[in-house]
Amino acid sequence: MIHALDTDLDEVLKGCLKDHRQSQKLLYEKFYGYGMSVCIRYAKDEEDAIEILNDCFLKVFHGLKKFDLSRPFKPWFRRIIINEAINHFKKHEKRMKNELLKEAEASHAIDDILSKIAYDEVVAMIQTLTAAYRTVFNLHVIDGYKHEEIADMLGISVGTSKSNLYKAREKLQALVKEKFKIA
Amino acid sequence: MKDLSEKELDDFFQKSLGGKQIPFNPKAWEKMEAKLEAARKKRLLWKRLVLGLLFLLLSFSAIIYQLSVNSEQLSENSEQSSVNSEQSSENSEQSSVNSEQSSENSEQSSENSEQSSENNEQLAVNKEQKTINDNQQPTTSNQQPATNNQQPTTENKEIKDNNNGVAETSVSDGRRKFNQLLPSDQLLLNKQTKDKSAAPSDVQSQNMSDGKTDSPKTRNSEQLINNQKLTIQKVNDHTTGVQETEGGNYQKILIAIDSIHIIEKQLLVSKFDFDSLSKIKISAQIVPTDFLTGKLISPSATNFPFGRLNIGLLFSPDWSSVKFQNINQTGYKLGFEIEYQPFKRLSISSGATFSRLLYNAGGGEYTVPYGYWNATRKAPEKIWGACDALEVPINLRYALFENDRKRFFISSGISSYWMLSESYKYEYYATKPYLVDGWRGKNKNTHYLSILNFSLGYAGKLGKRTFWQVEPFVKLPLGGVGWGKIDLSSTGMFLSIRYQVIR
Repeated sequence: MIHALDTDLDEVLKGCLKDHRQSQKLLYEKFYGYGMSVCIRYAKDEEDAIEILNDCFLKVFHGLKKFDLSRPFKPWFRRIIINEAINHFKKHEKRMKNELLKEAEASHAIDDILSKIAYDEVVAMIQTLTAAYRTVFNLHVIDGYKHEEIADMLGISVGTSKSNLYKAREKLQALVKEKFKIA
Repeated sequence: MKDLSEKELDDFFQKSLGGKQIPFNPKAWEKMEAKLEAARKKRLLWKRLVLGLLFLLLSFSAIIYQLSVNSEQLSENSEQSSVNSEQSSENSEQSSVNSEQSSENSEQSSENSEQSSENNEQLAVNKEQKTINDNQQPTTSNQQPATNNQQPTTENKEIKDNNNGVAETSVSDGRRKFNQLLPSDQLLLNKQTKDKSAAPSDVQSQNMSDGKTDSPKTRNSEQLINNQKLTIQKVNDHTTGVQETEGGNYQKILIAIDSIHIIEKQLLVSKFDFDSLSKIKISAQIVPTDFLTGKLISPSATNFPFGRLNIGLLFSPDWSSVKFQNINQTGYKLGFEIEYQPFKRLSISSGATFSRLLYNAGGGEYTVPYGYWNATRKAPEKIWGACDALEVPINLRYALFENDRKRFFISSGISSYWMLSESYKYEYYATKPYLVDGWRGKNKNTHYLSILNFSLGYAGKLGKRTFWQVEPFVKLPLGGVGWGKIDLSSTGMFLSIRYQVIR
């Protein structure tokens, strides 16, 4: 069997253009880790992240004809993931608003965080945030978008974006403080 | 613990989250595969819907177009029928007028004959009477039928003169004219036989006619009359034949018969000349075209040169492939087809074809059942397929050009496949003997209305009821075919021999 990492990306993409299932699987394997690392920051859990990632890959497979193969694939893929994460946020906005009310109850997850390794701990910290806080924090702090862009992407005001970021930081600060205090 | 600044907090998360690779999760791919399959089915459904709607739209358009063409032809025919009826009634009126004029002229002729017999006693007086008759002709020349009918009288007189042997030049001139006036003489003969109390001049005419019977000119003239009657008889027979075969539209046939009777009457009462004979012959040929072989009376002869229903045996080489790539094997198709043509150019056909499909494609082209490829059964690089299928098509065919000998047509429709047997052989780039080598199955898959057919063709007549046909075709998949749900396309060229069951 041909391993995903050993296969030339161009060949894989050409196979995907022909709807070859094997090529699609190779591309999926190749970019699963990267895609998940982005998706998991926006998702509330791993299942949610997989759902977002699979939607992203579906868009990649169907939209590959529009992609210029001479350009780097990774930034295009990243852009698709972030857009999909935003769509996911918008789609589940109502449900997420309900989660906001239960924000206080989410702190019980700290115990789980402490029992995991560093990366998982950090991811878990972010996942304890509500969707609105988490999305703005990821977009601004990790992915480098400005408040104007975030407001435009999420359909909120710049003030709301800043407010959400402030509250996300405040929450994470408390979580980190808590974690280090226990450690 | 002291609170972290905003920058310290952001750096902490950026460093912690950046560059981390999460290991591949096979369960995530299974979900992805299910999602891809669902998307593929959705796309195929839309494709089928769009193509199906397009096909229905084209079919309805063709049928509506055909119906409108037929209704236009019907209205044209009925208009022509009414025009012919009017012409027929006009001809009848004209005929009655001619008859009246003819009787008037006959009376005048007998008067002239009486006068002529009286004048026979005195030649000088006879000459004067001739002059009077000659002077009468310009007076009636303004009325064409009257003039024509009057001429036999004059001619009769000339013949009587010839009979009297007045002048040799006059005799030859009279014979020449006699050839042109045979029907009128025939009319006079008929009148003589009907009227026993004929005038002395009529007896003279009878004697004259008897005297002329022996001459070759007279025999030729009688032959011409007989030929003419035969022509009319043929027209009548033809009319009767059409009536028997079609059994409908009595009005038209009666009109045709009336017209022929009118022609007959006109022949008998009017001046007979060869020009009019040739015209009558032409009209006798035209009558079946205008009246009898018109679309209403005999549509089968003109509208369906290749028959309303025909059956044919088909054979074609078959080149099947995925997206027309890697065509390196040749299969075949063998079957029969029945074609019914309800409208002039539009027909519907169906049948059954046994298809031997040989093809190959990359392993990724096949969509095998979920979980089939696993650790011990890896997906191959290539799969060779050899399948036997029964294909049942339903096609609509439209003749772009059609005459009695040939036709060009385009055709489109949908086929269903019954997979009688399927055999797939896996090919791996590296020999891996522990892997399975393929899959075989019989009567496992049926695909209803899953292949879209396009073709164009040419048909040429071999005999009265037989014709041959060549039809290159393309078959495009609307859904996956076979166990591997492969998007199988086919091309080939049907050669067929066909027989018209219903003409």
